[in-house]
Amino acid sequence: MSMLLLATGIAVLLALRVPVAFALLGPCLTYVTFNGQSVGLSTRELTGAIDSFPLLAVPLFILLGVIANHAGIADRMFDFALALIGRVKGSLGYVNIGVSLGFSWMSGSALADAAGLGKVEVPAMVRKGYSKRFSVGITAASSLIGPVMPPSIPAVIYSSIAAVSTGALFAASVLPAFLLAAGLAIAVFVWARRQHDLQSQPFDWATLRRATVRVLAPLLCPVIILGGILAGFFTPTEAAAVGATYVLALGVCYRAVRLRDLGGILRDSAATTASITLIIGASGLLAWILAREQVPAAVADWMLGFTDSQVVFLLMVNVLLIVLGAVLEGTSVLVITVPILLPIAVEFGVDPLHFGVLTIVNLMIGLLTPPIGAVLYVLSPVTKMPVHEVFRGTAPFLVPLVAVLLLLTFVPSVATFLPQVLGL
Amino acid sequence: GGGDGGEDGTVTLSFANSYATQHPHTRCGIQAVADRINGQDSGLTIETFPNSQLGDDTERFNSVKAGDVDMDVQGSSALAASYPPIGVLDMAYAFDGPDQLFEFLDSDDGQQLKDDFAEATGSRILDGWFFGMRHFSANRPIREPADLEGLRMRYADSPIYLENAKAVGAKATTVAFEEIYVGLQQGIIDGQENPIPTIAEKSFDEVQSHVSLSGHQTGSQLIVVNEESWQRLSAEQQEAVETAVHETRAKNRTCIENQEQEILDQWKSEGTVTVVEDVDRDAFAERAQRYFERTLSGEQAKLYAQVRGSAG
Amino acid sequence: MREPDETATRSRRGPLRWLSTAEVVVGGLLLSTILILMLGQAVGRYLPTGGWVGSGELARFSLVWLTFAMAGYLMERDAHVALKLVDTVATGLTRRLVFVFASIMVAIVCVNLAYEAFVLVTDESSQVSPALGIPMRWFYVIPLVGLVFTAVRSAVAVFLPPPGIGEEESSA
Ligand code: NA
Ligand code: NA
Repeated sequence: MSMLLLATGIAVLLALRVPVAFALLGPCLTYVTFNGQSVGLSTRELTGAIDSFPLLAVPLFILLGVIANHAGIADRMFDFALALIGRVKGSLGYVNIGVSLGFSWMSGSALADAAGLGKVEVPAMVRKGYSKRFSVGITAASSLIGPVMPPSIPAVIYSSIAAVSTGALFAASVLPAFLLAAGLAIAVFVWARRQHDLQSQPFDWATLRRATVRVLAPLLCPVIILGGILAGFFTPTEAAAVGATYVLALGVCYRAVRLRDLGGILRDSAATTASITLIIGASGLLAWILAREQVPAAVADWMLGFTDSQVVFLLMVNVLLIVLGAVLEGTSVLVITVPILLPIAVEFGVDPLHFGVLTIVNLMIGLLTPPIGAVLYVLSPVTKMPVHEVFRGTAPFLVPLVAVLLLLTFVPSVATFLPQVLGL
Repeated sequence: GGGDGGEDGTVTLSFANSYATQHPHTRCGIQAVADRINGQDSGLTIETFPNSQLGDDTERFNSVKAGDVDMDVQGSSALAASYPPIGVLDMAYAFDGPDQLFEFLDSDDGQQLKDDFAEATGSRILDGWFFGMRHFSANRPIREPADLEGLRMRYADSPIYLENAKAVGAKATTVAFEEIYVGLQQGIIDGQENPIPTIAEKSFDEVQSHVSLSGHQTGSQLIVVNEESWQRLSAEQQEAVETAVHETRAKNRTCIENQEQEILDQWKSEGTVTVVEDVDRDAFAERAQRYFERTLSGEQAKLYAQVRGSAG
Repeated sequence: MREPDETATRSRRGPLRWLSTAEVVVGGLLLSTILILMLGQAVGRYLPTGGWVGSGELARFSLVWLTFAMAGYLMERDAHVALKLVDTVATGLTRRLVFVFASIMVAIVCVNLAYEAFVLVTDESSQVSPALGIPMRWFYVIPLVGLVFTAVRSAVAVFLPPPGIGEEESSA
């Protein structure tokens, strides 16, 4: 069975609404049968790909995010950011970015951010005279900070495929995540200068003091997670468990999480985990077949014959990943492309950490672009706006995001600087 | 199966391992075997799949047993999950070094082990290659068992390795291989044990001050082949593969030892890592032997006695 | 990288609902197991007794089991990650037919994999897991059961699509 047939089969099944994991598995099972592989290979590879120690951080970070959402931590951060910079022109735009930045230390997924924060932020902005389109746009764009800033679920998955240290990739992602926030803040600044009817909030020390107290304990979470890893108390996977437990304790203290909520929290986290890990398993079988057919080597030969410039290669990767990220869900693209592209990147002299951050930022930008852009689809029902309207609001913010992506492409040290300083 | 028998008598075998393309076990290992066979025009072609492309050690050995991969390179502690006695080869101070390892593999006892393994798993062991001596690294010298006290040493979470830790008196802590570097750097673990090329390749030398040449384990890698795939080969092809694997053994060892020496020279000249050579290996070895003689039973005890008995 | 559709409570009656409850309970327990084992590993390193050797392996196995334990539940709720583009371009019968086709595909895949899992469960080999020494055939029991239940769900979906299929804008 030719690889072209395999690829076509997968594409057709995907288009016909077969869930991604099964769309990958169907043609792979056909290959395995017709190629005379043993009965059992598919199930062994499927389970073997999930049976990975670094991947254990995935359910734990998902749990952390779900609990943080339940515990109402986003509301506390919103109040704090508003009390701090409410007076500034276009303040709610910055507040929106700031809340995503704060929440990003507790959430590893853009969709969790968009779904959780969209409900709070968009109505608040509209009340203060911001256009709905702008409000939705900045909410969508700033949700990308979550999966780039550690903890990051895509980073955990990348580390497990690329066999790089999760801690080092976390460190490499910090600066790029801040740059995304800065890029979006510049866009808000440029936009706000031309607006005249935005209401601002008077500054008041008492309000700020109250909001600060309410936000102190949640802000300890990143200190516990990253500090715990860097100070040598635990590994990234253990840090995820400690972080989830800490936020759970916070939620209980705030009386936002009760005993009867636990079932729902576990159910939602388990369901989200399974939807991701099943795709990881399916692509494990696909990766086995591609390797067996020497596809990565063929792609590498082609790429190396096409160009010998690292930058040209990375630009090609950018285009490829944004296109794939626009039509496919991020995890799927990550698990399918990294085993093929990373060895080539290493041949081109690209640092695996740099390549990891670049891959993640690319795929996350794909979350904002049609036809599939998952963040758009999450925000549409939350804000009761049609998907194309959500995209019209989001599109201008692609400019700063792509600018940061290009900076990251041309200046590897944006990613590699921090891990080097920390000696990771 | 993976070995597609063509109508014209040509056969293709897949040969996999878990090592990077530049690692001696690939460069002077599976690739060397493939180059040699593929240059012979015997109707047999060997395709190589390094770098865990076809799965991690456990997955690949399952694939060998099922015939989805024809040939593979496996450590005996991994194979012990399917045939426990073979784990003895990886036990601390079981062998004094590669010479004894090779002598044992070529001996009648070694042949018996290979036969018993084949009967239990349906996979044939063609030969064993030298993986390098495993040594301790930490932020202080480890010259005798007492020096291990108070150190959290990282070991792989497999029973043989954890037994090895107890045998030499180390407090084992299990950390995933991918997290060793960060673990050492952040002090989650104090030390680890691996052959020198692995220590250098994974940059553990950046976060450890001392490498103590304890040589507590004669690392070996066994070349396994699926029995059905093997039977598809003609007698000449079988002999060609056996010869290629066996003759690669010596070159592979030189390759590994040269690389070890290069790394040691570099460490010494740069002075970044202190190489501790005056390790009291006898003290460790005696402790290990006492431990295993006390704890092993049945087939494992018998094999352990054979292996120790073959020491020169 | 996604959250399941929490608002969609598409309840069925009788055995299928009990099944969902059972899946959720098993999935939740396995997730709790992972959390407790990883917490234990972090704490155990600082205890004189050391951590439990099997914690890494049992946690990894739990993640595999969780995946298969929840697969049917996700199928029931149409919550597997899928490209639902067709929902926005097709209507009525076409949409229904596409959904039926997708469900049949899932059923075929699951039956295939369940057969494989059955072969692995009934395998005679004496292989055990490295750390815990669990016979590897047991490892495949939960995948086998999960795949059978997912196949049942997709077969049911062919005849009784989840209420509300295609009525709303679904997330991809
Ligand atoms: Na935001
Ligand atoms: Na994050």
